[in-house]
Formats: sequence, C-alpha cells, structure tokens
Amino acid sequence: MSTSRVVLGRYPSVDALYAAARSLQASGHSALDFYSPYPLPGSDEVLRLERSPIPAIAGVAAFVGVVSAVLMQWWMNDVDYAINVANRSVVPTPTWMPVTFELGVLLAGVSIFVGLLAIFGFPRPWDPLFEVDAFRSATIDALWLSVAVEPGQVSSISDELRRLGAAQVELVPEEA
Amino acid sequence: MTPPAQAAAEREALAPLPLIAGRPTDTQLNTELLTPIFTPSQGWKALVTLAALGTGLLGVGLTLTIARGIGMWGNNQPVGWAYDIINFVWWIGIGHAGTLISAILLLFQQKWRTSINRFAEAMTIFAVMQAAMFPLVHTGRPWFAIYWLFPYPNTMGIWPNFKSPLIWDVFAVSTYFTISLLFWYLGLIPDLATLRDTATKKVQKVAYGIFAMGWKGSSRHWQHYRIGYLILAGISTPLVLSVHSIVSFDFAVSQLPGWHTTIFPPYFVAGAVFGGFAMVLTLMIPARAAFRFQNVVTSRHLENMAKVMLVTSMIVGYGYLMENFMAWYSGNPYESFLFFNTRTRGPYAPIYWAMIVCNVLVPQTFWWKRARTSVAWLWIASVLVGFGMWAERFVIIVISLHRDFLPSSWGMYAPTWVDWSIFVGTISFFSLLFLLFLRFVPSVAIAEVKELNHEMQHEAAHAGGGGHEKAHAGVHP
Amino acid sequence: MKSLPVIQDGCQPRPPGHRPLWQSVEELESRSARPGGEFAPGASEVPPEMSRRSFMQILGASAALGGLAACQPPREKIVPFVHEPPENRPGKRFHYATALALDGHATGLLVGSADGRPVKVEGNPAHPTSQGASSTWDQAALLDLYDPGRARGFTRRGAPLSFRGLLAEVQKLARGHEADGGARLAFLLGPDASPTLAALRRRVQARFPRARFHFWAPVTDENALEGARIAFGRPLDVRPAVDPARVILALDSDFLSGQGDSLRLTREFARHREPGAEMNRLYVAEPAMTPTGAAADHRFRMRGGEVAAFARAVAAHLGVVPASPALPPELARAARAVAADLGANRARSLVLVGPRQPAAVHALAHALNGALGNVGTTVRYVRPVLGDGAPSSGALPALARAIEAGTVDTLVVTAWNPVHAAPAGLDVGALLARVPDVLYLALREDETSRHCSWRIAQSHPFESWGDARSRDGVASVVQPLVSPLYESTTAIDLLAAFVDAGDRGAREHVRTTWAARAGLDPAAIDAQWNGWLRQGVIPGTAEAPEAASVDVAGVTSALGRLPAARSEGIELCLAPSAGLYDGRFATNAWLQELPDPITKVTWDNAAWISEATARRLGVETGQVVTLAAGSRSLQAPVQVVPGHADDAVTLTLGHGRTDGSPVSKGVGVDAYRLREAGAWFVHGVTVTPGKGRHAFAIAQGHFAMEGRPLALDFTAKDWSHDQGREELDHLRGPAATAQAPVDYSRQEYAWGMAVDLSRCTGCNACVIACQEENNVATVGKEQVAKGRIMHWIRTDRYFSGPAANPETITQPVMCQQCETAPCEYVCPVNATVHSDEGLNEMVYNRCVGTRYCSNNCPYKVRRFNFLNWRPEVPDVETLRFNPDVTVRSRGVMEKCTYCVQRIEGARIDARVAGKKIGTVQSACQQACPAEAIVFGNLNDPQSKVKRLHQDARRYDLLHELGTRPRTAYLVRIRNPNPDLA
Repeated sequence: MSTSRVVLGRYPSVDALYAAARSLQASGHSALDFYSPYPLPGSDEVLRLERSPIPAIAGVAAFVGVVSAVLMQWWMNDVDYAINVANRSVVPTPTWMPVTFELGVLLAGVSIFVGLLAIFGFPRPWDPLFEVDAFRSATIDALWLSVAVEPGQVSSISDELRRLGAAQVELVPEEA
Repeated sequence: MTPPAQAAAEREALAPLPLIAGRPTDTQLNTELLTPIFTPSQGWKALVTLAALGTGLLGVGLTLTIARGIGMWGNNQPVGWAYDIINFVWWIGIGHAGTLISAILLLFQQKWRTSINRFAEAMTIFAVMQAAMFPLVHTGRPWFAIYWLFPYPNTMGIWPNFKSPLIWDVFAVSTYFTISLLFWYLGLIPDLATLRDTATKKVQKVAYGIFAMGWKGSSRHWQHYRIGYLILAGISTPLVLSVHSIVSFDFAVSQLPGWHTTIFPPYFVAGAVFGGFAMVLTLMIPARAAFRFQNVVTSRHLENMAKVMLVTSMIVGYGYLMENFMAWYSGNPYESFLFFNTRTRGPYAPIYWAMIVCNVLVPQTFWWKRARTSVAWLWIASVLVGFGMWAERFVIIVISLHRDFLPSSWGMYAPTWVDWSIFVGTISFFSLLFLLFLRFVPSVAIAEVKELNHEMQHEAAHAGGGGHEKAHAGVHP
Repeated sequence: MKSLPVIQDGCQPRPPGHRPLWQSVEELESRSARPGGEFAPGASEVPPEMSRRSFMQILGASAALGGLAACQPPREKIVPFVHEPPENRPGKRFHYATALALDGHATGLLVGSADGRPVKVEGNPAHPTSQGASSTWDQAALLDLYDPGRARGFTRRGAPLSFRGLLAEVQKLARGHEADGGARLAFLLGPDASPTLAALRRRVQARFPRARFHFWAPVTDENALEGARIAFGRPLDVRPAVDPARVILALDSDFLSGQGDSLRLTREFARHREPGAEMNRLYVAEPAMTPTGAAADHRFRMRGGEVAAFARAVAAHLGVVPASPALPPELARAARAVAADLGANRARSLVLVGPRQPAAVHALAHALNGALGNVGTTVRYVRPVLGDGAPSSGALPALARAIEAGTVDTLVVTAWNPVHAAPAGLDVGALLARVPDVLYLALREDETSRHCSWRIAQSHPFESWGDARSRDGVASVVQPLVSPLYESTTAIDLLAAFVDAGDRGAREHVRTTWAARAGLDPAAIDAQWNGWLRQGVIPGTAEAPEAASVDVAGVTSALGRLPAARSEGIELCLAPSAGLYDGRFATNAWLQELPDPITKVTWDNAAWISEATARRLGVETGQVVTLAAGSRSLQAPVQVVPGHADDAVTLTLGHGRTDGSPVSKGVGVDAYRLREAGAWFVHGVTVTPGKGRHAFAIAQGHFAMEGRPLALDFTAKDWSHDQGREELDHLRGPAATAQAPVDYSRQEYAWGMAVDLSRCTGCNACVIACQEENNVATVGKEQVAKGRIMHWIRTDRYFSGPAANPETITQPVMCQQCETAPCEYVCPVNATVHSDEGLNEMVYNRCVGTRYCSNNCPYKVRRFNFLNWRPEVPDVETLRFNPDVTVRSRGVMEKCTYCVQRIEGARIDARVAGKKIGTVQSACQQACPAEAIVFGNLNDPQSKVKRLHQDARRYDLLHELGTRPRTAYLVRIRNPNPDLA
C-alpha cells in the first residue's frame, strides 16, 4: 500500500490514545499503531495483535544447538578421531554436557536477536515518520497514534483525530 | 486534610525508601539522565587519560609476553598457573553480577533493578572482555591456541579434546560474551532512539540513528521486543550459573588437593555474584555522585545490594567451611595438609587470612542498617570484598599448586613486573571502556525508568486517589 | 695421517681438497661458531632499563602485534652429500669404542655417531671399569667437544702458526736445548697412563737427559701410594672387589661416586643390596654427606682429622694395632660394633680409605685388610698404572723453585690449568711470565693460557688418536669419532715434536707402541689393531696382582706420627665437586646445572656446615661468611647440610673460575685460594658471619617426606618378618579407577619400567644421560632459581630421622607413563594422548602450552619451555643434538617418553630382521652403574622388568590416585647392624 498515506496524532494520555484507537477501529480503520517512549500496558489488546513468533524461533534454535553439539562431540572424539585419552571410556556422556548446554543457549540467544531484527525489518535507520519533526518526541515523552488511509481521506481523518482529542496532527510525507 | 489523604500520608511514612525520588516528569527524567552525555565534565577527560595510560601498560605486558614467552611471568614448574588464571577467574566472576542483576531481577520483577541493570550489564561485558583475554595469552603458543581450541576441520585430521574443561571454557566464555552483548544491546535500542531524537548535533543524530537501527517506539515492535527481551533474560540466568560452574570445573575436574572439590560450582557462582555486586557498588557509588543520579539510584538500591552481598558472603563462607570439613572428614592426608598446614601456616598464609577477613567478616557488618545505608562504608567494604575475591583465587590456584603431592617438587611463586602490569592494565582497560560507556551511552535504562515511573505514579494515583491528573501529568509535553 | 680440522679460524683460508667429502655436513653447518649462547643467562629478565623510548616502542608494537612475528618456521638447512660414502647410512647410528681418561685412569666407552657426528656417549660393556655404564663426566664430555668456546689454532706470542709451522718451531726450539742436554727444558704434565706418551717421554729423556718432567694434578692419589709405601715398602694400588664383600668400612671414601672406578664398584655394591643372605652392609665414616654416605647402612659423621682415630680404634679392637686414644662414647661404641662385624666376616670384608686421608690411614687399612684375610678375595694389589708418571702436589712448588732459580727457558705444560689450581700463595702466573717459552696445550683458553707465550689448542679425546689404561691396567686405543672441529693437536704430537717425530701423527705413534708391545711389525698388525678398536680393550694388558706383606710395625709408628685428632677451631674440609671435579668441567653447562647429589644446589658451591655448628656460629643458609685460614681468607655463602660433621666446613673445589667461558666465570667461590699444596683438611679455620646474602638455585627445596609414602625403605629385619609387606599392599595392585581399564594384554608390547631404590645411589648419571639423549636444554642459574629446570628425570632425595645425621634415600623420578594419565584428559587440543603400547605420548607440534597437564600431574615430571632456551644455537652446537629427538620450541610442554625414539629405532631394526623387538634400553637405564633402572616389555613374561613388577618389594608411587603408573618402584632395604640399633 505504497499509495496510502500515514497520519499521526499526538494524544495527552494513554486513556485518550486508547479511546481514539477504539473509535477509529469502529469506523473501519485497522492500520493503526501507537508510538511511545516505553511499552504501553494493554496496547496489544487494543491493537488486536496476534502472539509473537519469537518464543517458537528461540525454541527451535535451542533444539538445533543441542542436537548439533551432541553429534559434533560424538563424531569428533569417538568416530573420526577416537583415541585413548587417559583411559577414559569411549562415550563419556557427562563430559558432553557443558558444550551441549552452551551451544543450545548460544543459538537460542542469537536467533532471538536476529529474529527481532527480521521482524522489525531492521536495520532501517531512515523511516518516513522521522521526516515529521514533532514525532521525535515519540521516544522522549509523547504518545502518538498513526493511521494509514487512502490519499483521499487524509483531511477527513485528520479532523477525526482532532475530534478524538489529538493535541497535534501531522501528515507523514510520501516515501520518496 | 481529608481522611484518605491522611491515610495516604501515613502510608507514605511507612513505605520503604523510594525507588525514584520525587515525581519527575518524563521530560525531567530525560534531561536528568542524559546530562552526562550532552554536557561532559572535565574530570571525565582526566580519568580517561589515566585509564588510557594504564591500558598502554597492558599492551606492553602482553607484547613482551607474546614476543618472549610466558617466562616473562613468574609462573614456574609447580605453579603452572598464577596471575593469568587468577585474573581470568576474578574478571569472569565480576562479569556475572551484571547479567544476574539484570536477568534474575527482571524475572522476579524486582522494580529496583531498572536503575542499575544497564550499568551492571555494561560492567559484565567489559569484565568478560578482560577475562576472555587470559585463556588465550596464558598459553605458550597463543598464535596456535587462538584457533586450535576450536573444532575446525584441518589437514592434520585432529579434533579438540571435548573431555578437557578448557574446551568447555572456550564454549562457555564465548557464549556468555555473545549473549551478554546481545542482551545489553537489545535493552539499549530504545534509549539509543531517545538519544537520536534528543540530540541536537548532526553527528550525534547520525551516529545514534545508526545504532538505534530505526527504532520508533511502535507498539507493534514493543510487543515482540518485550517477549524477546524476557526470553533472553530467561536463558541468561542459567547461562550465568553454567559459565561459572564450568570455570570452576577447570579446578574441580583435576585431581589436585584444593582443586578436586565437588562444592566448587555452587560456591564459585555465589562468589561471582558476591564479587560482582561488590564491583557494581564500587563503580556505582562514585558515578552516582558524579552524575547526580541520586534520584534514580537511591540508597534503597544500595541497601538492597548490600543485602545481596551479605547473603552471598555467607554462602561463600559456607563454601570455605565445607572445604575444610571435607578435608578433615575424608581423612585424605594430602588434602588435610593443604587445608590445615599450607593454607593456614604456609608461606602464603597472610593472603589466606586476608581472604577470610574480607570475604567473610567484613560483609557481616551489613546486618546493621547503618552500615548498609552509609555510602562511605559501603564503598570501602565493596572494595575490600573485591580484593578478597581476588585473594580467594590466589589461594585456590597458587597455594594449591605450590605444594602438591611430592615435596620434592614444591616451589615458590613470585610475580614479575609483567604480571603486575597486565593485572593493572586490565583494570585500566576496564575503566577506560567504562568511562567511554558513561560518556556515550545512557548508563541508566531511560525507557525502563520512565515505565517504572508511570507504574508507580499510577499506583500512587489509584492508592492516593485524586492524583489522577498528576499520574498522567508526565505525558504532557 | 694428520686429519685436517673441519673448522678453522674464519680468517684462514681452508686448503682445498684435503678433507674427506663425507664431512661436508659438519663443514657447512659448522661455520661461524660463536662462543657463549649455550643458554641465555637470565633470558626472562626485563629488557635492560626500560627507557621511556623503548616503552613507547613496545607500546606501539603492541598495537600492531598479531603474534605472527613469533611463529616463523624454524630455520632449516638441507645439505646433501656430494658423494655418498659407502659406510654412511643416513639415520643409522654407529657405535665406536674409545676411552676417556680422568687423571690418567681410563673408562672404556662406546660413542654413538649419527651421520658422522658423535651424539651419545655410552659405557663399553666389554670394558671392565665401565661394564656398559657411564658416569656424568663421561656423558658430559660430548658437550665439551662441541663447545664453541674451545681454543682454536696455535699462536706464538700472539702470532698464528699453522700446524706444520708449529712443529717446525717446536723442533727448532728443541734443537736449541740439545747443547746442554735439556738442562733448561722442563715439562709440567698431567697424569696420563698412556703407554705411547710414556714411550715418547723416554725418547725425550734420552735426547735431553737433563730435562725435568714434573707430574702434577690438583687431585692426586699420593697419600694412598705413600700409605702403600709405609705398609709394603713400595707403591701399590689397591684394587677392591666389592662383590664378595659382606661388610664394607669406607673411611672417608666416596667409592660409589667421584673418580676411580666408581662405576664398577657401584655395580658390584648394588648387586648385593637385595634382601637375603648375600646382602652386604656398608659403614661410612666421613665429614660431609656423600652419595656413599647416603647409601650407607651406618654413617658416622666426624671431622676429616678424626677418621684416623676411628680407624685406629677399629683396628685396635681387631688387635691389629695397639689400643688408641679414647674416642667419644658413641664413636667408641660404633668402632667396637664395626670391628666385631668385620671380624665376623673374615675374607668377606673390605676396608676402603679415601684419597683425602693421610698416608698412615691408608697404611692402617692395608694392615686391616691383611689381618682380616681380605687380600686375594676383596682386595688385590697392583702396580699403579701411572708408574713413574704419578702426579704429586709437590711437583708445582718444585717447578716454581726451578723457575725462580732461573733454570727454565722452555716449559711445556699439558697439565690442566696450573694457574687456577695452584696451591694458595703460589703465583704460578707470574712465574710462567718469567719463562721465555711456555708451551701450553689446552682444550680451551683459561686462567693459565693468559700467561703462556705459546697457546696450543688441544684436540678433544673424541677427535684424537691415543691410548689409555684403566686403573687395573686394561689398555684401550683412543680413536677419534670426528676430525677436529677446530685446528688443534694432541699431547702425543706435541711431545713427539721434541724428538722430531711430530709429523708422524698420533695414530702412527700409538700403532708403533702397540706393535712393539705385541712384538710385531707396525705394518702388519692391522688384524689385531682393528680387533682392539672394535673391542675397545687390548687383551692381556690387565696388571697382575702383586704379592705384598704388611709391615705392621711401620704402620703403627706411622700412626703415632699422625697429628692429634682434636685441634682447635673449625676444620675446613676440601673436596672435589660432584659436578665439576677439580674445576676442569666448570665450563660444561650440563654439569653446572646438575644438582649436587646431596644439597641439590646448581650453579654454585657453598660452605657446608652442620645445623649445630650453624647455630653456634649464628649463621644460616644463604648468609655469606668469611673463612680465614692463617693469612688467607675467602668469602663464601653458607649452606646448612644435614649429616655434616660439627665444627667443620666443607667447601668443594672447581668453582669460582675467573676465566674460561660465560658458563664458568664467577660461578661459586674458588676454594683453591685456601688450599695448601695437596692439602684436604685445613685445621684451625675461623668463620666470621658477614652481612651479605646469597641466593642459591636449588633444584629440590624441600627435604622432608612429610610422612607421605613416597620413597619407602625397610630394615632387612622388618622385611624378613614380613612387616610392611601388607603395608605395601595398599600401594600396589589394581587401583580404584572410575573407568574400566584398557586391556593392554593383547598388545605385543606394553612398555614399563622398574626402579630399585635399594640400588640407587643418586649419582645422577641418569640425569645427564637423559639430557644428552633427549636434547634437554640447560636454562641457567636464574631460571633454575625460578623453578624452571628442564631435566626430564630427577633424583629426589629425602632425609628422615635426626637432622644431625639423618637417613637418606634417593629416588629417580621420571614420567610414570600412567595408564589413566591425569595429564591427558585435561589437554584441550589432544596434544598428550596414549599409545596402544601404553606410552603417555607428548605431541610437541600440537601443544599450545596451557600447562594444565603439568598442574594436573601429581609427579610434576612435565617441563615447560617458558622461554626460548636456545635463543641462538651456535651452528657447531647444533651438531650435538640427537637427530632422533625433536628440539622443543618455546611455549611447548615436554617430558620423559621412555626414550620412544629408541623403541621405534628397535622396531625398525626388528621389522627389517623380521623379528620381535629384542631388548630396548632407555638412556637412563643404560647409564646407570647400579642397574637400578630397568626398562622393558611387560607383556614378555621372561623380561626382567616383568619380574621386577611382580617383586615383593614393588609398589607404585601415589598408587591411591589410581593413575596406574607403568613405572614401578622397589622399596629400599637397609641392612643395619643389630648391635647398633
């Protein structure tokens, strides 16, 4: 929806923000988002977001890490380079534990980070929103609401936002 | 005054010390916490110069070591490991409190964590950087060790020996460093965005913009972000425990009296938390004064940390006790000789007793609130504990090695100036990194403090009643 | 033919084509040999005074540092033979029989040569004095051969001479002396039993009837010979046989180490240290603890001057001589018991006296042995092989008088370093300066050469032809293994020059001598000649025993003339050093770094005193004291030594060289400065404590066993009563191991070792043998003091009982080759792993040097290259390395491998021959004169090592750790006299 335009509204309080969002949803606008300096409790419900895939990603990665660790140690020390080291038994399972655990954790952790970047589409230092100078307050001390609409509806939605108590309304310039 | 207001006043009186003094607005918090970044002080420059010089010392020490050999150190035949591994264990131990504070306290939803976790995580990363240096440079041929310790396919057809605790170390330390770094950076992203948007200089805008990677505080992002951050915290916690357990295996898995001890893993972990918290205090107390963070790092935080130190100190003390008990109970002549003769009466006995005083006796003062709340004493005590933990590693490593099974091979150990310069050098390098961190990165998690601030004002509002507007006052520009 | 040198001084062009081509390897490798560099003294020290600039440089370098600078591949040289000589088989070891003489008494050796260069010295099994064993000095001779500090070429008053030029000049000089029959010609020779030299001397004497020959050495047997003169009326040499002896009384005699034929005596002694009726009993009376004293069943400590009284008391109890002045009660009791024991073992007892004791005591010993009927069983008398060439301490003063009288124009010196070893107060240097022509033949430039107008480089015995005789007369031909590395010559050539026969070459002279002896034509003795060379001994040359009767009256009167035992003040006992002998080995880094068998001090000597005396004088170990004897005084650091006699100080000769090489210079103190001519005991010495402190480099700092079951011993009585057997059961047998032990029984070979503590005397021969075989580095005093000594095998020495006169036990410890080796599983890179034959293998190329293995080794037998111990090896020294053993680089762990290179060598030979591997000897086992170390195949039921592993005395070191060592120890059995218990 490259043609669609994004309109921003700054709201004085969380309650006002949520109220505005609900009425917009009621009037059929679903492409909403909030911007705040800290996570807003309950925003997920208001925006009707489905569960995050991150836990699943981490789980799979951890499993892969554990399995590959066990296979690696077994193959390297007991198959490919099986040699008598201090009379220790050929398959010394206990001594595998540390590496196995560490590898599981490593892959899980990295997958979470990479997964997040993937979901966010980061790194993305420039964003059309940043063209709106007032929007900088979103990470400092202000609450913003964004709604994407057809180019035609821009003015109507702006009035709507004001009517819903926006202290300030901004139009995000088109992506170049 | 209305009855509810009076009740509120009474509750205020009974409540513990505040986590955030006063009722600052987001704007106030913002400016307050970013002051060190936008208005640097002269003292900072002086300290950086000092630390840089010390780091030079590290460079000299390492160069001589690699160019001429381990012989530049005091290590010798019975004492194969000394300052190198002492420093390694000491630094990695310090590196543990960070993740622990940040992760465990997050899992237990300890509100007081928010003001100190960024600080602690940074400490972790820088400490682990110091620690990670030693396993490499302590080898006789680091130019091979740097890759032979990793399982890579090679023409020799040889693989590393996964039975060796040193291989476990390689995996544990590298994993720990990676995860801590990611955890720290992830937590940093929203604040970097805040910096980007607060900055006035073009350079800062661009630089922080790049590191913020485009964060705009979208709730759709916050959703994944929080769960991801939480899981990372979740896996970091067992990771911390595993890493220091594995470090303790370096000793516990061997058969040397004083090393061959099953109690090592828990007691190393406790020791790590103990020493780590001491280091946090050692750094936090001056920084807090210098940057006037008293409002967010209140004496409530300091007191809590003192309590943690008291507990961990007693766990460590229990560890010492059990070691001695087992030495006596097992009836192993070599062990009892080590514990009841070499340590207590041997040539290095003073270090042993210094360890007992610093690690077991000094923290006992924290039973008294006056000790816990006296900033001066807290700082002195935490410095003493820092030394005590270093002494503990000396006791474990050097004292156990210098008199082992055959008296014929007993020997003494004396550090050379290179040993010292590397030790001092790591401290300087650590300080240097830390000073840079304080200067260029928000040393308190702004977003989290803001969140906490709102939660509390919200509660206060609902509890106190009538405070509704005030509760939301914060969000007015 | 006179073989030309391989290396000459750089300036001189080498005459082309004279050199056999097969030497080109050495030639090419051996250019530009630099002195020094055997090791870097204090290699780990800080770069001298770190200036701000150098600090900044390193600072800068540290930025750029990638570690790459440190890992260039080792420099390699490939030098092919131009023409492959037929006898050369690359990698194949050839052994040549030759002999080394110390003070004129030869030991037969086999020298292993690889690709034309000698690399290993071994005893010659066919030779009676070595019987296959070899001493530390024999082994270390190899290092002297390749010492870059050796003297080169010939100079007269600084002007270089060619060899021919030298001969011409000497002959001219000689002719000048013919006129007056050599009245102004003198020779100062060291002791040498070489028949060829003797023949040449006679020819010189014939040409110059009035020329004077002086025979001199710092250490002589003159007391013994004088004693024989008293007892028998003529000088005879005692040839003891320890084998048949059941009771041995050693009066200040260190017959198990030191010079003489200690190798043979040790072997005979050790054979009878196993429990049983055949077991011998050793009594030792001595001032300072020696290896012999440490091996004794009863050791009586007394000052050197009191030994005579003790011996006399023993003799009196046996009724040999009239009763003597009273002894202190405990010594009197001892004397009574010893006498009874000797008396009960007539013809099976032996009384030995050390060379330091006065003639009367030697005479008394002859009387005792005679009275005990030992002559013919444990004692034989032979004509001294040195004959008229026996050295006397009076020779040097006599020469000095002649020089002062101005009656010497030409002096030929082949004796070792008279300036350094001269009696105190005799300034030989100044005297030599007064003689117009002094020809000094020496292996290296030393204190003496400075004062000599002619400096003549001597060839090393391994480079020269000659002949030598062992103490009992057996003659050997000394044959060279390599052409002289530097332009040099031999005593034979030099002496021959005085009869215009210098150009015939030493080989011709030796052949002539022995042809004459065999009554053959020199041209026609090739068959015999080659046989002698192959054998290493010339048959039928042993001295026949002489019948001799003791003049007891003479002995008694001689005893009467002895000074009274107790004299005021403190007695200074001088002694040859265990490592450096009289100082001639001071330039040998192996021997400098060899720990003293008793004190374990390296790179030093010290004033040894007893604990009580130290307390009385208020001094402690490391404190510098001033020893004053009459007008002369010397500053020396004190070391308190258990078992030393009270009111006595022992100082060993040989240290404190003022010249020589960096190895010898300024190491220790020079005891000669207090020594009268030939004196061993100086009475009335004063010891004044000083302020100074001295740091010793001690290889074993702790003397006590701390009640741990490490080096075990039992008395024969307890052992026979099965006491301790069950005690041993805790220290052997299947150890508790978590892992099921690997089964080696199906292997063809399972290598193992057994060390018999009953036999070991701690003589250290194994240490040097191992060092030579395995290219073990020396590290220098500073590094030893830091605890970085590199010896793969060490002889631990523990004291037990009263510090005044403790019981001593020595225990060689090398890698135990544990089957469940603690070092292996901790190595992260699999650099130390197990072979299928049970060896604990060390892969140097793979080692990254974490030192974890060393930390986890309960025996601490692993050695780490903390620095590059060989910063730059002079090319000539690289010739010394055993090509079968890797020369380890810096940062690598190393350790004993049971001489795996020998095992593999034997395996190759066995495969070629299509047989099983026969016997393999480890270097330490091969050198051990006591046969205390046995190596072999545990899977061969016939093998000796297998038998010893099943011996009742077998136990494992630190058995309870479950390391399952492949090296077993056999407890030491002491055989004390019940009457003295």
